[in-house]
Amino acid sequence: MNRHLSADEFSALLAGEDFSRGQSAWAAGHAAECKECRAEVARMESALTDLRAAAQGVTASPPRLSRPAKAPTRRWFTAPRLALGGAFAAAIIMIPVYRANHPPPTYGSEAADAVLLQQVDAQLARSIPGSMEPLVALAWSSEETHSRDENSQGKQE
Amino acid sequence: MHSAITAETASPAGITQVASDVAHNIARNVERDSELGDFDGVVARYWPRIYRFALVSLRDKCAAENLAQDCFMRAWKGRHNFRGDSALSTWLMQIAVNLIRDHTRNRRLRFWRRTSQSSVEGSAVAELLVDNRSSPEMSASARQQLAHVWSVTASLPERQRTVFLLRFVEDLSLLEIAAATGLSEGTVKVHLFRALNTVRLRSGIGKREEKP
Repeated sequence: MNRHLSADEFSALLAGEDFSRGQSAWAAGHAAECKECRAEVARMESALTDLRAAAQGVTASPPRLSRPAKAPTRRWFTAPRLALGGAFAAAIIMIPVYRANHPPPTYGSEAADAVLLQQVDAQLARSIPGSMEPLVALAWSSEETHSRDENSQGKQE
Repeated sequence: MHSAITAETASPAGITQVASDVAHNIARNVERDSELGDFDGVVARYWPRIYRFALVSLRDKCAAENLAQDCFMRAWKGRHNFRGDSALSTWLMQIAVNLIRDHTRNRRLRFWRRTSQSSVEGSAVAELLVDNRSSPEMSASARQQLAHVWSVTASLPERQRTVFLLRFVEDLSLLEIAAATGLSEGTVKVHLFRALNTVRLRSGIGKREEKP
């Protein structure tokens, strides 16, 4: 056959087809004899070899998917925990200081308490409020004066 | 596997054959279990291959890393479904091929793939090529040719690209590619031939489509 390799024959040669039979055997024989076809197959094979080599160069990095041999220890002194612990310690220290500076209110002696209680009892025992007492006293005094006048008039009559 | 008892299997030669099959299956299962038992070893051994295939398929380092991790995660989860009918590498590659196909077909990610900062350009790949060519001119020419092949490969249809990369980057046989992709051997060959023809012509290596 006086022709060059077809596209499929090129592909068959490059894909590594079985060259022992029929068309593939002819293609292999032609590629060995024809300088032009042999050069083209060689260029393509070289490009494919370079592609494989470059791909292996890109992926030279080690795998990142691996379980650690030992589980990582978790630090207990993280920033939030330290802040919380500091605040708690400060509160513990401040409680006695605060109590020393702010003593609880004192309510006087027992005698003063007794006087106060008597005053309360006296207030409760009154029939009229304390604020009304002067008015009531005035009313009583005017009534007594009026009755005394009447009595003195009666005696004169 | 249960074999039906027939006149052939009941004969001494048949019994020998059945015993041989059973022994073979047991040996295969033991080998499979021992291989998958050390999953860290499986990851260490097959990671470069899966990652490399993901990278040349997706051309994005971050996406390739994620996909490789996803691949081994799925393998771990589905390790009980691995029957050992094919090689472990082929099974892993099958998972990777499916993940890449899903990733490629996911339209929502297309925008991000275009704008990805970790994409691998042809020039970057060409720079990684360490060659022993005699002259700087030849080295430069080889790098330029590689960049062309890299960019043409990206433009191939999905199946052609997968088959092409499995054959020429991962060096799988046609049968292994058929097992990994779920295609028949004839279909694999058709896709491979078309991909080779496209790469040969568009990268400028092949000058004419058909030579008279």
